[in-house]
Amino acid sequence: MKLFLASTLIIVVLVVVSIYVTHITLVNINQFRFELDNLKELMNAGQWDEAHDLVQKLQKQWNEMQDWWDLYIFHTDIEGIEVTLARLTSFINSRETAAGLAELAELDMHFSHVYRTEMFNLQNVL
Amino acid sequence: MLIVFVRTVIIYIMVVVLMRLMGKRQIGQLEPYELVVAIMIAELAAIPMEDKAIPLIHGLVPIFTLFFIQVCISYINMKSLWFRSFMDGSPSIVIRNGKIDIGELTKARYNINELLEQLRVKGYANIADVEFAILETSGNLSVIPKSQKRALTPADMGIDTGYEGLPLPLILDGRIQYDNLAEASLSPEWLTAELAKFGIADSREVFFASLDTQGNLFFQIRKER
Repeated sequence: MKLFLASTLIIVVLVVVSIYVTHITLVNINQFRFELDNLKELMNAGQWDEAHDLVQKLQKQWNEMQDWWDLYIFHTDIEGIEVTLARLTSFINSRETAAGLAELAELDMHFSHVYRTEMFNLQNVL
Repeated sequence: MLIVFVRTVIIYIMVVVLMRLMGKRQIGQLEPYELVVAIMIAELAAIPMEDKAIPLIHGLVPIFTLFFIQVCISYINMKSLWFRSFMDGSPSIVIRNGKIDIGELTKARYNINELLEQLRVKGYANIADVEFAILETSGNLSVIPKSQKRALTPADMGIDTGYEGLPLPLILDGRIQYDNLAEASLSPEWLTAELAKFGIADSREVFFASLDTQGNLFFQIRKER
């Protein structure tokens, strides 16, 4: 009975933590993608200094997120985001619109992929 | 490489602890649902162990979830007869009153060769010696021989036998088992004195010593002197 109660307690904690972590992850992704939209507008408008500041802010935000994501997100997804973000930063620094926008689209796609895979729905369960 | 090493250690400890918590039945004779858990845990443990791209938690969470399901099923099994029979199935009597029940054999998809093989393994080469054979839910075959064919027991001969309890190990690998000594209401001094009678000064020289219910001390020293 003790074992049953202890394991029930642990599983309840596990489920609650999972729900919370999924929620936080999806919120973070939404925020990140919102910032990516802003970045796209800045790049299209040729506001490179603002774009540079924003990408630096995103890089910092990503570094904080990554520490947590390493624990439960597939490392290949994380590597994909990391590499694309590094390339995007480099293109913004050299003010290359076309290449930068392409990287931005890829980064957005990476986040969209994580969002779709982390979301709790019947499609993902099946 | 160090990461794989540490991940392996973590998963190994987790699986050993959980298998231990699942109980002794998990290691020995498995019911169908227990076999499923054991196979799945083995698979789940191996994947994140060798693939660094998979977060460790992706292995640990399903393993723990399986453990939880197993504990729940065991618990419900104890409480509900219907659920027990649903999960474990029920034993099939494949030989009843000395006659093979072909219907039960077919139902259990157990062929006559398998039945004969299992009977031979149990020591019954002649099927005519068997009164009952029961195919247990764990897949084992229990055999009850005809009364004329079973082994002779002291009760058959009307011989009175004394109580035979479990011998108590008093020394294991040179270490005195104080709990067992206390259970037999004996002291370490008594053991030392008994060993001294055989010229053994130090109990660490003894590899194994036990005391039977008649009070006889059996021992074996580590090295022949």
